[in-house]
Amino acid sequence: MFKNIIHITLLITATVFFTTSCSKDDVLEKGTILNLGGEQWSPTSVDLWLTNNFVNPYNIEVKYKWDQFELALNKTLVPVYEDKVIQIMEKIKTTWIDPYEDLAGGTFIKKLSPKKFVLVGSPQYNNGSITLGEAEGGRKIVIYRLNWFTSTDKELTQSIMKTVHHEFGHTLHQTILYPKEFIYITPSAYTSSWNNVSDYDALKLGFISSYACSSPDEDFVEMLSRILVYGKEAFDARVAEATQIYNDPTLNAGMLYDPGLAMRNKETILVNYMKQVWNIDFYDPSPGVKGLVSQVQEAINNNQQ
Amino acid sequence: MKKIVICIILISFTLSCVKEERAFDKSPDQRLIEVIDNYYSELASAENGWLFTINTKAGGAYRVWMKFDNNNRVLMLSDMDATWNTTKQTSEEISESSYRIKAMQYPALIFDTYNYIHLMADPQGTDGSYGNINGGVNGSGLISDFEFGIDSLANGTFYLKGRYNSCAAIMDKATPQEEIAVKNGGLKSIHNSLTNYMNNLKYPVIEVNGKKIDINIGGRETSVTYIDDNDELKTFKTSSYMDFSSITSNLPSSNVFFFDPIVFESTSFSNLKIDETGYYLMTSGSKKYVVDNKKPSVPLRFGYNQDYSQMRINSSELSGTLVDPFLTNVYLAAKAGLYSNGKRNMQYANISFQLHPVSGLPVMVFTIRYNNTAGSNYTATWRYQYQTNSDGTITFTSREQSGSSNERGQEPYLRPIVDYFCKLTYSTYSSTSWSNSVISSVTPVAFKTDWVENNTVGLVAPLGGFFPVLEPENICCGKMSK
Repeated sequence: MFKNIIHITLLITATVFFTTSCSKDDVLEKGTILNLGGEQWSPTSVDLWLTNNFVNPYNIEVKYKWDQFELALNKTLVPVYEDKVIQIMEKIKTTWIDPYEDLAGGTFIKKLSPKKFVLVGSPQYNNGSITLGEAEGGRKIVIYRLNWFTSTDKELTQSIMKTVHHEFGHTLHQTILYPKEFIYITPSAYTSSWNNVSDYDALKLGFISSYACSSPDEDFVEMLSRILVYGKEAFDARVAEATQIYNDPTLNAGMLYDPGLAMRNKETILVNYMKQVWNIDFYDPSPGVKGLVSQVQEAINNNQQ
Repeated sequence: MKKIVICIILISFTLSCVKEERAFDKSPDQRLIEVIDNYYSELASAENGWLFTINTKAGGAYRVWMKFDNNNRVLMLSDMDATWNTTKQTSEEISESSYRIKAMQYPALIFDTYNYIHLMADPQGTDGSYGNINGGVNGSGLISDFEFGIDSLANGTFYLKGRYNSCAAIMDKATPQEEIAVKNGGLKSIHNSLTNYMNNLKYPVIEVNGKKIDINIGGRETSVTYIDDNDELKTFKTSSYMDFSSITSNLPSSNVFFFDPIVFESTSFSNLKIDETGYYLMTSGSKKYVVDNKKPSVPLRFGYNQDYSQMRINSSELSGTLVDPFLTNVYLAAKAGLYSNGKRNMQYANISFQLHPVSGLPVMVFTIRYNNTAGSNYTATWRYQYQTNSDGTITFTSREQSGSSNERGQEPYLRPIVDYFCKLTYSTYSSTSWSNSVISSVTPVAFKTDWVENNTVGLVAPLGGFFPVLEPENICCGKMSK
């Protein structure tokens, strides 16, 4: 009898023990975790425009408000003027997104475009040079010195758009690489001290710019971006000048190959790559039908925006 | 019995789990949100805006008036255009941009789109084609900040620290009078008032602990210079800024405040107030004013490898300071003498302490620059040996010509001035070769060197002089340089 009482007491004790001793903590209240969905601020007309023109159609974030963590932590930089943001992004849309979208289709940009643009007001100073733009794995593009921007300054627009097309070019070849024959056109001329190569020397070596000398990847995207932004005529003139120097006995000392021909060969690989890999007509495929270069040139020369 | 005890022990287990009490009654996120909301409210609550002062590391102190609202918008006016050629009139054109407060390791106030506050931090200091934003070094600008950790909010004043360059900044609520002053270009006009006021004090000095120290009061930086106990020349600088008292209290200039207190011996002062008489310090209950000493208060150290090693004597630059008897009896007499020899025009005399090219010993090099009627310039140069005496005076013991036909030919006409420092007489004087001249007597002359009062209107330069020991009023003075 007594034993039963003990057993029952123990049973009751155990039951009470297990059901009451460890009480649950309060459930975490929703909506009180700071910045859980991203930083918040009162939206302005700029934010609205960006939502309508970049976020919704292309899922591209344009970060114009300062965040040092998007940038090098040891570089002195400053944010962009708010009232330049729409002008800048409008220019980027008409000179980069629209031509590609027209020729490669709606999902092309959505799939391949960087998901984030970061806009910086000042140049980024390095030893003796300034950085114009940076791309990170095709996911993010940082563009510097945007406080200089005015929509009627064609030269500056070209310079900025060259950066965008250059960085996008990296995304293209990092997704699907260009044919390796490209590397063997001027293989011995690539060098890491490209900023000691003058433009004239780069020309004589068969490069579209000094920066193109730094590596085949840079060579490829410099070809792509410079022809798009400065036009075919400018490129043809450069090729002609290069061949002329090669044929001039007073100037061609030490030249082992025709740099104009080298640049033509690079151009051919570029054009074929764009068509075969991405189904994009780099040049006009037929009269009245505009290729990529024509469309970009038209947008750049349209200074009214 | 044992079983009852066991039962009691077991039952007591059911009561032993007690809910832990929380240290705070809210979660960390809730508390952060409250702190940040509180800062937003505080910023927007200032009806007349805030006066933001930042201590940049390469440009001194800058002031920006700011007005925040509750929707991440801020208006600004800044004093940048008081000292730099800015694109916009920063003290007159109100400019709008955005801001936000973000919780990082500490709450931070971020001016996240470009406005006047960014001008000092812009790394584009000197970039010719696209603008010299602030005149600083490219890559670092004026070493400033625009993202600030909020250290504390005490008595309505925000104490901030820059995240990138650790610049200190303070934000005080503006009064209604200050807002009116600012909106009438006051950020710039207080600088102009100070500059005008200081232009009338050529050698501002203030007496501290019975010693005179040179003080240079600036709208962005103030410095003091003195000789310390080890006889070394010391300069102490601090960033400084002004309030609006020249406008709101109708004073000749505004009160000046220092970011770091100026410490001199046992006295330290963190501001300089101004009244109708001038800037002053309160020491032991009485006011000591900043006055014009007319010459630096630190001793002049003039000689080879000293603070100053050169003097330029040009009577047309020193009107009112270079006076008789030296002016007429020595300088103008030499000038007239030279003119009598083919109308050669004496332009100036220059004194420089250098090493003798042959002996390697320090000598005083005396040069007369002149031109002929055709306008061609020439120099005639002599070297004087000297000794420094234990009482601090200097004696020129002899002189020699330096070897060109200029001094050989012109010395006889320039005697008044070359003899002033050390007189030679010759038994034979050769104008063709110095070695053919025979000196019959040498009279060394001893001098004291000291500062000279600057009585020349419009001249801002340190002026020093030679005071002959035997004829102290016969002063040779001129502009000193290193």
